[in-house]
Amino acid sequence: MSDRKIVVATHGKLAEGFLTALNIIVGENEDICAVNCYTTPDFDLDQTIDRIFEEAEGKELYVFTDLLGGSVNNGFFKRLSTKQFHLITNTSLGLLMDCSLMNPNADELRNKLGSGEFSVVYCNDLIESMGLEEDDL
Amino acid sequence: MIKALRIDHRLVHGQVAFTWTHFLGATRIIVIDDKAAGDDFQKMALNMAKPAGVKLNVFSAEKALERAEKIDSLSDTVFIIFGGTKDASRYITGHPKFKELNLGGITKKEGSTQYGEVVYLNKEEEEDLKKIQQTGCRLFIQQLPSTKKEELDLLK
Repeated sequence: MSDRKIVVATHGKLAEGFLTALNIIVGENEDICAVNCYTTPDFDLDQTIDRIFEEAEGKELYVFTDLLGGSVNNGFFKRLSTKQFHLITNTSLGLLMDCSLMNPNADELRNKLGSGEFSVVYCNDLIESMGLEEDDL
Repeated sequence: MIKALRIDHRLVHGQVAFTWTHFLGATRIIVIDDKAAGDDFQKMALNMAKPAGVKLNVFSAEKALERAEKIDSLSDTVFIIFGGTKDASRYITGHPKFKELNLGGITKKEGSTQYGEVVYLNKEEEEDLKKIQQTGCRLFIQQLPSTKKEELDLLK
């Protein structure tokens, strides 16, 4: 067992969806788990978050959520005042893949997010800027 | 040096660009595929798909063979991707020195037989792969580094 735990928590089944996509591209990774929120009428976010912290006890916890300002992220955000964990939102598949493969620490994660590598891209404009030059060989 | 060879009809995609490249520690991906080599837009798309910091070349089988010695002597860790059995057979029989070839994805078509979860071969493709095996190159089916590696022997 690793000393790190990654939780992907989202509205609906997006979290589970992220995991199925990760399984196809990267393969299974037991350090990562999905938490689908609000899929049943009796869903309780605070209880769910409590349970996540209990299960991650003693581990470095990384939480990835779907939306800045959404309730899932808000729910975790208020715990930042009392708990030690990393909270990342507006999650993309590329970022999760990178975390699964590279196991970045907090500083590396900060750098990756700052680089724009995982941001949303308007591909139409990319065509203009891309040349056909190949690497030397 | 050449670290690995794989046939994958999707060429450079998520599994290849991220998972295999990371697993192999590849610093250069060489796509050998006649169709992609003649299609500028697809070449551009492949350039977009490659991971940051990894070099990429897209060659036809003929052009790749002209450069075979040079490719062998590169200081990069090279990962070669063929789009299909035909390009693989031309390159490997023209430059027979490889120990193994990974069959990643070969698409299903009319009259093909299933050999793996995403590996389907018709007669022509089986012949291509037999020629490859005859050079002493073994075939194995494996989708991801974390999934099972299954040997395929078409000469038996």
